[in-house]
Amino acid sequence: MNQNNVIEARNISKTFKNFTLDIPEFNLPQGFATALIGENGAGKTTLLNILTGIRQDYKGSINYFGKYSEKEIDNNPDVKERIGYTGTDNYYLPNWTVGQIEDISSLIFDKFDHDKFKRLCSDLAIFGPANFDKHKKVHALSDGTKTKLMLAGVLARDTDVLIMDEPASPLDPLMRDKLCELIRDYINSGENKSVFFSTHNISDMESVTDYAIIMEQGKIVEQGFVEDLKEKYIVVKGEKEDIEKVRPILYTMSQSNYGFEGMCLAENLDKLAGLDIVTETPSLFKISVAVMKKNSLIK
Amino acid sequence: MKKSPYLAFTSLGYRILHLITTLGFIMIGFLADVYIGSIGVVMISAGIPLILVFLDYFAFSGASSRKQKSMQFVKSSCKGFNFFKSALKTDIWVKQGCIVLGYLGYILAELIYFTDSEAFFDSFLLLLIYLPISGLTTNITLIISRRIALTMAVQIAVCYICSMLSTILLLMYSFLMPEHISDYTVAAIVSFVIIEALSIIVGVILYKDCVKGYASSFSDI
Repeated sequence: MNQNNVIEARNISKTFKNFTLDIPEFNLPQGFATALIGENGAGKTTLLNILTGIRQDYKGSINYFGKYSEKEIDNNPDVKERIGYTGTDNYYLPNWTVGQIEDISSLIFDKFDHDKFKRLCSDLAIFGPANFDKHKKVHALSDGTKTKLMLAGVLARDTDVLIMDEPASPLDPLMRDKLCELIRDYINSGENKSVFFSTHNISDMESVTDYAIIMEQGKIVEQGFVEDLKEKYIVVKGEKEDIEKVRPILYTMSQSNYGFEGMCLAENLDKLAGLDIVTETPSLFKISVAVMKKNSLIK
Repeated sequence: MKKSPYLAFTSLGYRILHLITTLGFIMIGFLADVYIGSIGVVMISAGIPLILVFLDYFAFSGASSRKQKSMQFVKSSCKGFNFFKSALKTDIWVKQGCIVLGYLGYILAELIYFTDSEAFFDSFLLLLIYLPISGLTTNITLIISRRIALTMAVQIAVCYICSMLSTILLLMYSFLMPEHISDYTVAAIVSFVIIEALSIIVGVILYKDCVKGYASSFSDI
């Protein structure tokens, strides 16, 4: 067991009618924010549900915090108590009120801080300019506000790892920025705090992402620290007449009337010597799109 | 101080509506017995299950369904399962309590206005049958309605079915009943025991079905 991984999973597989999740090895590094990136249907939610114990019909083994197996997730309160999870929609019952969510949280989680929950609700402006309204029903909240409520609920607990499914998607740009701040504060709030979130909003979340895992068709196709990935790949731009020469070397490529822009492995850059090209460091967004394009079923 | 799982799981409005329903039927039972006679009990028998099944929509609708994704929050806790089971169990008891209390007005009216002890004993024996019939039909309907996450329109239809079932059973029983049931006290008590036992068994099935639905929702959602 590597001490630096908060969750380690081996040979995880789950088969659906037209889809198979197959992950021989998965490690969630401790003390970092990890982004799970992939197109729709890549298996991100399934993986997150497996790791949080919400889905239990899979094959494989999981080790939590270096000492608990997946069999203990429902028997040993320490496992789920240390994992904070936020889902997408359908996380809370629509008829529940904010007050009920607060009451239920304190009943089902040992370390739930009521004052912190109220403070977070206020900081995230869940009730707008109004005061804390415990009678507000979940179905009366917008999708973005529901996500904020989930964040307030999970951050009011004392956890060691946050696992979030698409937290940024329903949020406005300002709130996405706040989400990055919350994630960073969470990681800095104690030793070995880790965050794992799935996202399609790669650009917005790039500032907070330390480690990235890219999934396609149920498999992890790329992963690594963002800084390492930015050294592994390189953006190449060049003239139209060189397109055919660079095509076999580039990882992915898009053409315009003026030339091409593509991504190649930095180790292959020597093969482009002599061509009139410009290189630049890729963003996580560009790396993710290139990797997804390479492995996607979308033509 | 922490609330009980039932109080946390259900909203204040849900619980107040149960209380209003019970008080309303105590009043209806009382007035109906005084002004229109024993047939008033049919109103209670039809009305209580109808309203209880309808109110269920606001707390436990689809609770036995494997597709109850909405419970992700509860499922993310180790204590979530026991919390859900406790809330379920209390709800079943509360509903049965509402049914028993709902007939109280009818009993009070019989006690106050009909001093003939033989007639009162007849009414009491009849109630022994009507009570478990209402409990039984409510629990049967809840098993069905909780298996599917219903829309409100379908839930209303289910309520009517429950109500009709309860009334038909009650009328069938009344039809088969001799005029002076007190002459057949033993038979009436045996009937009560059988129907009550059935009602309890169906109540246990209702509880287990919901628990099974929760447990199986950890698999293919």
